[in-house]
Amino acid sequence: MHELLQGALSGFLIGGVYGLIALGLNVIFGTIRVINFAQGSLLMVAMFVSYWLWALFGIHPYLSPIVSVPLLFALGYVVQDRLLTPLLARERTREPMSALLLTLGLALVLDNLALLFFHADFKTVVVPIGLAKLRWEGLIISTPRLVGLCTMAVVASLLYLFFTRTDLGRAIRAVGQDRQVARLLGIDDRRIYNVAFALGSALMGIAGAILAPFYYTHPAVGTTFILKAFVICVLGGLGSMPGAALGGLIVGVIEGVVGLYTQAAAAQVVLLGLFVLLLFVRPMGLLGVERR
Amino acid sequence: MAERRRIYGCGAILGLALGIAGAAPPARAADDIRIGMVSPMSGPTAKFGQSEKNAVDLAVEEINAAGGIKALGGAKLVVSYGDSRGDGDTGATETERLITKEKVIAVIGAFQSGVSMPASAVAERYHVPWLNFGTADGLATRGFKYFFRPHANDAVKAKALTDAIAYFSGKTGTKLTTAAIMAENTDWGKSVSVHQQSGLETAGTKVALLENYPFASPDLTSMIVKAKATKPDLVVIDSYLGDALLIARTMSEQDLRPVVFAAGGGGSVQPDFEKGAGPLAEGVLSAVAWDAGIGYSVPWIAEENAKHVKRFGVSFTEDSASYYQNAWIIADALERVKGAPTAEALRDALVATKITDPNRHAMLIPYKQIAFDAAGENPDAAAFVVQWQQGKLVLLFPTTLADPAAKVVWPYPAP
Amino acid sequence: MTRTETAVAWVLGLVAALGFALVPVIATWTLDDATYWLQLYIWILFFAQCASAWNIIGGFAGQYSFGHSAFLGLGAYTSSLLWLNLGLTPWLGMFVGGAVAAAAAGIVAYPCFRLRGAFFTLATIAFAEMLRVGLELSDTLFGIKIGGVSGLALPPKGSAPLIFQFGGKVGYAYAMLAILLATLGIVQLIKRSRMGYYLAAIADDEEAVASLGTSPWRVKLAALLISAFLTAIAGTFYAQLILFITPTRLISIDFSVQMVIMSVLGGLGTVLGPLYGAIVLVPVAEITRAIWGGSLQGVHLIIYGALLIATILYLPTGIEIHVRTGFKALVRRIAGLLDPAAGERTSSVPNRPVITLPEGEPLFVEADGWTRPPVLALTDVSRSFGGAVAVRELGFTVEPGEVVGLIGPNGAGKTTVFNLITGIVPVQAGRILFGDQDLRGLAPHQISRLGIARTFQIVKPFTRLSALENVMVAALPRYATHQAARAEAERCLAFVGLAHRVDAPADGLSTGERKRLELARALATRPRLLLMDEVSGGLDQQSVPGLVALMRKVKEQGISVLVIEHNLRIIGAVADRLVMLNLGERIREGEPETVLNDPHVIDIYVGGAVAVG
Repeated sequence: MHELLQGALSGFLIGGVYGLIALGLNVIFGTIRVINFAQGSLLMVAMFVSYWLWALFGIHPYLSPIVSVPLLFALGYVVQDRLLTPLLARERTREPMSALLLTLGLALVLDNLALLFFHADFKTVVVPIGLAKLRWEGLIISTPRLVGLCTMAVVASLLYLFFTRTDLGRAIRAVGQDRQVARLLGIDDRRIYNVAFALGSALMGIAGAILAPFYYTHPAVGTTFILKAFVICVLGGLGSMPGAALGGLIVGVIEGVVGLYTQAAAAQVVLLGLFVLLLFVRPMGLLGVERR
Repeated sequence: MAERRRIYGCGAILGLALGIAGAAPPARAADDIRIGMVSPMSGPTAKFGQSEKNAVDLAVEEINAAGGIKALGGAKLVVSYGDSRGDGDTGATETERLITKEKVIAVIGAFQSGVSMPASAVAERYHVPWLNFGTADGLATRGFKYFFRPHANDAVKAKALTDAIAYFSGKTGTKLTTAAIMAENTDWGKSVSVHQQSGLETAGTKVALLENYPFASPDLTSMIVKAKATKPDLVVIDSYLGDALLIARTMSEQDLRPVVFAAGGGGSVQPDFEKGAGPLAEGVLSAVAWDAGIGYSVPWIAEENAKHVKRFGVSFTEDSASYYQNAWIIADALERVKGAPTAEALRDALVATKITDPNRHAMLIPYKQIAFDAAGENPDAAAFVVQWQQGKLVLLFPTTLADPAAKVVWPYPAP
Repeated sequence: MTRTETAVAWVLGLVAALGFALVPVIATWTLDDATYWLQLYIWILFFAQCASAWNIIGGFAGQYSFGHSAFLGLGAYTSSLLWLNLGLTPWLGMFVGGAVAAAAAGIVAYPCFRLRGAFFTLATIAFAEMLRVGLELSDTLFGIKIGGVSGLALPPKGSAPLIFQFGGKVGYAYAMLAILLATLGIVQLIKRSRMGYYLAAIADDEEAVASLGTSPWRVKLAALLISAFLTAIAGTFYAQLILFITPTRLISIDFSVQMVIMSVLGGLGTVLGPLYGAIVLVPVAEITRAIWGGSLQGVHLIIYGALLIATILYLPTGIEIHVRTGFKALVRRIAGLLDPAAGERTSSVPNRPVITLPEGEPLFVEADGWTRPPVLALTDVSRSFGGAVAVRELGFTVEPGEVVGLIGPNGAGKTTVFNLITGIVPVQAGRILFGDQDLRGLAPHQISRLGIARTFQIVKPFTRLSALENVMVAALPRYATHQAARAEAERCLAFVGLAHRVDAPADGLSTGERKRLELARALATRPRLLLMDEVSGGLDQQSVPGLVALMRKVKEQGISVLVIEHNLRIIGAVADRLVMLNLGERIREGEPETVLNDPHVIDIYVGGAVAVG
């Protein structure tokens, strides 16, 4: 019983981090209707930024978003403006498939550029919080993961407020729902798309800072998280912020619990199976809206 | 129109690239002897490939500087490189290229057992000797005639670890009742963990958990929780660096503090492990195919390693030491070749290898003897056990090679 | 093309093909290190095979699978296990492997095809990953040793062609070449067949295809099964070439992605595109490894990624079209040299006899056993979306040979009514009868087959096809031969006045022409009832009389028409009866003059007085 609780709890905590990554993916999909295969690569870039800030200047990873968030925002903005916009102008359909391929190409380029410049080393940020833990009722709570969970909750709430209360946020949602109409209402959809992608990318700056204290940095680190992030987005409902947050927690708990009863590798299969089941039974996810 | 220009531009670049590639390889002297090496020069394990290349280059330099192959009139050795990228089919293709295009008469390779399998099969087909580095069992059970593995395989490494653990638990008077083994789900992880299991059970330790986890996992907490529930006195991991770090940290977080924390090799002996794990690395025992600590009892090895450090900034690693050794074994065999130095003749010479002098460079990894049995294995191959102490790897086992002043850190002092 | 040009094209093509096929032989004769180059050649063929197989579902059908390496694995493992355990030669095991892969594809197709676009892609990735991890974890399967993550090694038997092992590269090269040629042949057959038309249409607009009477699902399934089969065969080849298979390497995203990239670069939906893609990309990987292998890591993947991005942005149709254009230019140049007299360039569009009034069968289907009820009868039909009521207890009829106009302000529910009739949106309450037939629960393509056709508000021709081909997609299900379908398509195009534009690519047509094309397409399905949605939208004033005339012509053919139209002049001129909707309810019905002069109607439309007529 104790193990079950511990497994579920630990899963819940890491689920917070998963949710953070899924949020970034979701912001992009909710607006631009593009599944960004390069999301993991952006996370990797963020982690390297956090790492190098620590290694070269001794800056604590939790402070690195000051640099990584604007940097990734800019990167995302440029990617959308230069690469995706011309593509989206061309495609008529709502969910352009070639954009998928383009982000795949981008992922290949980013991952391998990182490999080229940073080599295949596993870099670790060593800060005290990395090993810190709290105890509660005989259960162990990993502090850096707890920080991740809280951060995710805060970010998800802020995003929710942003999208529902601010003009820019509402504009993004409008464009996401109906691009043509939004344009007729005077919204510069091109700029909105840029901002949306940039925002999704910038969120990785936060995720990277969260991961740095307890997970290694490596050019291939993006691929480790990306498939999970897709699963979470679909589970929670593509385009739904609370859905992504919730989805992350659910996936984390499932992993944590299933891992107690099967080989860790088998837990992967279970998760993927659930994912596939979900795609058939409820492709709009738990909190997603059925789209016409 | 801009499109067309771009296409022509790309085409021109491609044509140019093809031209450069087709350009002749560097000129070679008529009686140079060409050997090949295959390793992962790109991709995630490129670091290993690079260090293996360094080691082979160093060996070949030394061989040539000492006068080349004297029996063949001072012929120099030249190396051709193949990049396996860590893929079996690429490794096989590269091996074939080295043999058919570069005309090497021997190939050293390939680090990953999954690459060595098909690549050594290619060498076998062409009757070219394959000097292996790669520990999986299946490599030597195929009845190959051109396959040579001088170094310790998984069974030997596992035995070294379990022997060392048995030895030290005897010396410290501790009984290790239960063990948990966590191995990555690759052919190496699977094979070495199975050997470890049988070794431990023979020594009277019950293996309560033997788990394979997916390579490069984001989170392994559940597995640690499961392991902790078995209350293991001994935890053994078989992991590459990233997962080794993750496991060490998660163990600390979940208060899993075994009496002994051991590793079958792989990531736990790399400097980055100690850098990343910090105090958690202290006391971790690992089985290795080679360690710089051997230099304590064999002075020339210490000098050789110092040379390597001066040149490349780091010590030999177990895989690069093996590649170095393999190059020297080839040189040794070439001295005994009858007639022209063909692959076939080299193979015959290799079969008759018998090196016992510990001061020969082929003994960088010191064994009682380097010789090959019918399957191509070296019956006297041995492995060593080291332990992280105060940020350094200390050789502890076999005790004959260790510094007598070295003491084992026991139990695992996890902070 | 003139006769000289045709002859030159054939000769050049044959020479190129023959040259390509003779590379192994020539290389062995002339090159010292032939083995190296032959291996490269073999890899090109292998990837061309994989990419071509992928192209059937990815390029032709537009369903981007990123999990195709699963089929490679299934093929390789099936044939290898059959050989290792039963001694079955991989030549036969290859086909068994293909069947296994096709079966697996069939099983995952049902759930996967219910997903669109990116969801489909994610599902394919998930399935492939599941297969890979599953195989990695299984050392044995039903008692048969499969090796798990350690892989399966096939004992080398030297030169043993009967069990698909060759002593030298040449054997492998020709085996792969034969397989590739067969595959390319199959792809060509598909492209020329009706399946090819449907696939191109589905890739563009699946809904439209369903509304034309073809079940997209069946066509996609067929494409996927064939694709899986052919990929699995490549898997067997891989196993026989390398003699060692592991799930980690074979069922990797790496292979899946390479198949995709090569098809995209080469040309999606073309026959030779994937081959060109392989010819370009495989050597790129080779060269980068040869030059930079030791020093710069992962360069070839950077190049692949950059090429993929560049292709998507600047060359979305791939390089095949450019190769083809270049080839044609070369042919013309040579033909010109050989036969300067015949150099009068004819226009690219061949002269076609102008058909003014079509001969032939009536453009609508006479319903069998139909008593004389109204053609269409809605009774108390309701439909809501979420909380919003779109249609409320609506009832009206369309009599045979009538043109009924459906009018009302925006948001009145008119398009929803069309969607309800054609089955795109299910009815929540009420009944829709087409003659005697209750339409409830029928799929769109089934409704189309019954004799209801529809044009869309936003005109969506199949952009990959020409005007004629667009109409053929609609005609093909009803004719046994291509020629018959083609003739029918030409007739329909002539009927709407597009005889001079039959070969024009659909996306090159003007808005007015597209509307006519849409109509021709709908007519080719031989409807008894035609639903026209906002025909005048986007049309300039000058086209209006032509449109009115066309609609009258349709009516003359005996087809009943239900038309949504905002332009009250048009509707007033053409309709026999008007039904007015507001907020989902029918509020007026009657002759156009009556309805259009009704003050209530005018009020709703304009909020004030306006003269109509």
